[in-house]
Amino acid sequence: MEPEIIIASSPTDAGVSCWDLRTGAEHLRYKSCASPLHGLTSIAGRFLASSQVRDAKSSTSGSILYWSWNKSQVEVRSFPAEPIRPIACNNQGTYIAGGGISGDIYFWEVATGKLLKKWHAHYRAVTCLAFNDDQSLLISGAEDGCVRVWSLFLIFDAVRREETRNLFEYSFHEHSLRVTDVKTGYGGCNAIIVSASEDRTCKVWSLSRGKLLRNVVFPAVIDAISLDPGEHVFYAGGRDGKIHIAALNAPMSQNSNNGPYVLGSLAEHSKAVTCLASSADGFLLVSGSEDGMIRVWDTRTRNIIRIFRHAKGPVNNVMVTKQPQLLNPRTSASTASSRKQALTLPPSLEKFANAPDENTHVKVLIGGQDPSNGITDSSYVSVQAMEAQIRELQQKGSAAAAEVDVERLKNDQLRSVQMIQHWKTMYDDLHQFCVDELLEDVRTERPTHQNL
Amino acid sequence: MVKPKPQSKKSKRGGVDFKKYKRKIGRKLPPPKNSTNTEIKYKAIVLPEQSIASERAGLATSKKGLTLKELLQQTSHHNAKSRKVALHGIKDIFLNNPDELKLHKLAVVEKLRERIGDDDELVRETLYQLFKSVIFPGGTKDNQGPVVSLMMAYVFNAMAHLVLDVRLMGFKFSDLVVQFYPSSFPFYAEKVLQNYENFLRKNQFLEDKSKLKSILAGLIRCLSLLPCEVREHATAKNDIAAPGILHAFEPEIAREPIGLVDFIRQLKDLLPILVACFHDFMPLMNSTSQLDLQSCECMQFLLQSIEIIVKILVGGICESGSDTKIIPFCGKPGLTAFNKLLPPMILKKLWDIYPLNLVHLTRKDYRRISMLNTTITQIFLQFKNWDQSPSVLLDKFLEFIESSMATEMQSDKMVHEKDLVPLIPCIPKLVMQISGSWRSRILQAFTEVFKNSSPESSMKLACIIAIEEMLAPGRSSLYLDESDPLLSYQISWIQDLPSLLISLDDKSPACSKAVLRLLLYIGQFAPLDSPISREFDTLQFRFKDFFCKLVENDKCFGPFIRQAGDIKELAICCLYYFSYMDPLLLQSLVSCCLCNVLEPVFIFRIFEVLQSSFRAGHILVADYISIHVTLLSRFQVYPDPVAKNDGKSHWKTFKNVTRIVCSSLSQIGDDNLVLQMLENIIVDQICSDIPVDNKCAFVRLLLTFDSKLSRLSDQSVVSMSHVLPQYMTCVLSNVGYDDEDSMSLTGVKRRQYYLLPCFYLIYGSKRLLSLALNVMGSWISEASSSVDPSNTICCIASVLLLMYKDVKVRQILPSCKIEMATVLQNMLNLLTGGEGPNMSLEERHDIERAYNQLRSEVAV
Repeated sequence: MEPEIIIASSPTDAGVSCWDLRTGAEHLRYKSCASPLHGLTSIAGRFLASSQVRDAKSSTSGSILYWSWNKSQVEVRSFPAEPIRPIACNNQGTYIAGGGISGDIYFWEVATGKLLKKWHAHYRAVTCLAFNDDQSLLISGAEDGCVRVWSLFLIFDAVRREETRNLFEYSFHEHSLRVTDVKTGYGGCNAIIVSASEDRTCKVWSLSRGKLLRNVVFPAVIDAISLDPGEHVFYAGGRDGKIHIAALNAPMSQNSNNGPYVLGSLAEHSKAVTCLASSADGFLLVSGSEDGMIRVWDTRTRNIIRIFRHAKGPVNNVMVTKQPQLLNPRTSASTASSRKQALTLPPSLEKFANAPDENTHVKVLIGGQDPSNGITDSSYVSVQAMEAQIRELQQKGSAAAAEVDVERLKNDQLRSVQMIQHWKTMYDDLHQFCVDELLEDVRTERPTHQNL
Repeated sequence: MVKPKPQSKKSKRGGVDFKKYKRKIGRKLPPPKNSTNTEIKYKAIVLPEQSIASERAGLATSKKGLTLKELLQQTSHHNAKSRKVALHGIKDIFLNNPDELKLHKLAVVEKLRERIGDDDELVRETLYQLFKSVIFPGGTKDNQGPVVSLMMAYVFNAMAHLVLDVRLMGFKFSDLVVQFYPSSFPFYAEKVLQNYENFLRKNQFLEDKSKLKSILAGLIRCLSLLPCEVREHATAKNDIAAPGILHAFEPEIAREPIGLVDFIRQLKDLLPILVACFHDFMPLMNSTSQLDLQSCECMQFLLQSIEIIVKILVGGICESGSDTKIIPFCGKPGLTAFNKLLPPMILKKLWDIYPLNLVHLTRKDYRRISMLNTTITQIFLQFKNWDQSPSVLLDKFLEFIESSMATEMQSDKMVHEKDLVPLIPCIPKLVMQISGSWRSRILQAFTEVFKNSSPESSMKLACIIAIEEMLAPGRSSLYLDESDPLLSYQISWIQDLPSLLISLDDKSPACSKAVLRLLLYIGQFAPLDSPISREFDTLQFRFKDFFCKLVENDKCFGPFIRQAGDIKELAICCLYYFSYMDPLLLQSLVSCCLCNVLEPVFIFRIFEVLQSSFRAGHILVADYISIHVTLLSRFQVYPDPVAKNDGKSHWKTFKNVTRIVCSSLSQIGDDNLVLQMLENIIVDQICSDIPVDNKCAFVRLLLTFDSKLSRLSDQSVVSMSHVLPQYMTCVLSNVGYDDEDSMSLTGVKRRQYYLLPCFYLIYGSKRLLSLALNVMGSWISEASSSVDPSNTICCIASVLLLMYKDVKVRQILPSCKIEMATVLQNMLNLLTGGEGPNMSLEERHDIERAYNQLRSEVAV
């Protein structure tokens, strides 16, 4: 089991806290972060990113900040064209998608900071974004109660985009109030998505058929949801301070007193539950609440196993990610060695999209992919980024090149260590063998002597 | 065991064998007294045959004692009358023993089906009634396949019979099967349609219209069962999935769609025959002055079936050329397929005679004719490429649509609203596709219809649905450029919605729901700062009357509180989408919440939505605070303070309301800042003359912001110190003592609920305590002149005693020794002073006891 960490942030300026999920040890606290809901993410475990909306009412400017794991100060600041609330990042950490308050979705490449695409997605502000598990679909929820599914293939395909009437794959209108959270299950385009809304319902949709599968009514507004990895149940954090458990893979039960599909609840928070996250194995559920506490639940026993205190104000984002290698416990935070390890972060995100004809010189498209090359290993980078990296590698000077070098050296080292291990075992075996042989000889010889 | 018959024969024979002699000897001797009566009496003993074959015991029998098996045998009797009787008998059995039907259904149907083509009319009719009233209604849920397949073979036989009446009966039976087993129809559709076609081809019914009518009714039923693409899409949208398991395998059987291809040829052949049939009625229109009802209905049915066929064919074409759905068939390869399948010439006859007119028009006739015209228009609009048809024809149709909508508005109501309803769903399509002056004329006419139709009518509902479609075709966009004339119409429709909602009251939930859904939809999808969204914002001034109307300080509740739950929910959701909320709207919402009739769930829901709305910046802070304060101060805990009579407790509701108000006000922002804004209001409310419950709520509200009272100004503390003692004594004397056992757990708990916040205040501020003690002390000294001194004093004493019982207050009480001593001294003064005449002995005793208790506590 890889060590995992909890990251939490709040809308008041209380920074980003970071704890080890298993041991409870606190790591570095990253300063000056006031994130909106769904505005905190870790870019594939490489660094932290958070959108900032300082003044919710008269917001004309917002920013997106980057922190590297070993420094508590903000390293990179970018200022998009309008305030961005939710941000999401794909698994490899190549893209960041951000939802603007005008209803636009921005799509950046992390490595270069280029704004690859921007499109008008909703009539009202975007409230939540999520990638599906194969990273090809982006699901967005908005204040107008609309949940839309965007295919990235379609968005980047100029020809097909002209043909179709709507950019989105599906547009679900059944929610009557603001959508508060969207989560997807497993299974690529056959997965289910679950959306929560202020109309006190959670709805389960099928991505393959594009229709409503289930409507679960809760006794309170649901602000956060988290899916069980087996998709047997999902957890819904409500404004009544309870985490409701709703059945996904069970038929409707009429006899329960909570309403159909609602199996029970975890109750400990005195105030509204605002965010949920679950550990990779799904046994631990992390919930953040408006009272500033973060609770870790064991979903099998339904008990609290750990409580963290983030700040006085409410918590509105929690995340569970793998422990990054560069992260050190607080005690050794600012040692010289860690500073040496630090790699520079990618440049800040651009405000406007570049001229579309930038990549016209790319004529050839490699169609078939070598089947031996696992698709899972490939990561998505734009042509410009690839070229830039190649150039840098040739010049052998820049951050990305260094990163690649480090990566390669690490691999080398790993291989050498394995080699040593291998030689060691071989040596041990040989040694053992020889000793055995010798002893055996002695043993067989001695009786003969005696006989003689 | 002798049978009676042979015996009687024997006795007869006996007379022949032995001659009777009559002997007459003397007088008749009297019978001897000791004689034995040797007379033998006998009676026939009927013993039924004992065999398994004819065992009837335990078998259901008809009135005539015949079993089902016998009756079934008799149905093929050569005598028509006994066949009929047998059928009646079967009906009898099944009516009395429904179980029998379940057991033998297949066998019975298998036997009876032979009678479908019976020669005798009465037998056929009886059989039809038997199937219709008994056999089919009994257990349609079980396996239907065999029954239908058993029947259909003979039904087809009858349909092709030489005798006309038998054929009619065949159609009647097929209709019956379709009625009861609609799902099995597609399997037989091809053959059934074939038979209809053959039957209608021989045009022999102009005389007997009632028969034609019944045939056509059956045909329409059949056609409407055919899978029609358009309809399926409409239903698929709003069905919520079955309550099953999400990740389960789906049942694969019974999903096999019946392809349209199988019977599309039949439909194509049927179409010209129907048109010709309709054309045969035309002379009737021109010649006779009076149009009889029967032929009119026949024509209506004919047109309806034509409409359905056209719809299916057009839908089928759309499906085959999947991508050309949106684009009209102009110059596309789809056009040839279209023409092949549905040659324009077929219906040309129909267009030629349109619009139908009678030479002499009575009002009734006018209505019928316009109904026919409406149906023809519908057929015309079914075509995808209708806007490519010659302009003369197009004008004819548009003119009819406009004029019929216009005449509907005339006072004499030549055209009934009901007949126009089918035209309304076509309007969005028209508006999208035509342009120029016709468009605005149609829009104008439609707007008139919408505004003038009565609120509860089906017309209004149809209009609302059409408006929804016109506001956003395909639910994709609400945006229009401002130059489009449609925009002004859209705005005028939207403006009408709130008043419509109010005039609907709670009479037509379906219509209210549609209107609210439309409103919600406009709110959700109007782009920011567009004319429509601006219009939506101004709607709130009329929308507020839906909740509550305030006329000169007098409340008049709107339809909202009388509506069903889902409509309330929709209305509440609409509130979120106003980009700013007017204080007047908020005021009417709060007064709605304050009425005793509204369920608590909806109070909470309203405030939940208001909270989200506030977070989104739609409500000003001042307004937001004032609605919460109003709710707390005006909420009537009725009857005060316990409500046991109707089971639901207002007190509990108010407790929850307090909790919600506290949490939502504390979420406005930093406690310090909010307290600065709220301090004066809260203290004013606490000091004002409001019921204990509301006061308690405000004390609690104060505590949520400042639990230590560290930030409260001195002036507030002073003014509260005057009120708190009164509040506490009031709680002690009123709350929890109206039960029989005043010290019951609930009573104590409830007192705790009221007193605890006060104690919290006291922990926070010693100054408050000393001031309050001073006030109590002075009360005691003034008590002698009051009405009921002993009661006041006892209350004060018990408040003090409770303070001593509380652990935390007890700790800080010693710091106010002087004040406490004054209180005690004042009590002593009262007891020893010469106030004797005012107090009875009992009262004096009470005070004394209280004094002693208190003194001992202070001493400890």
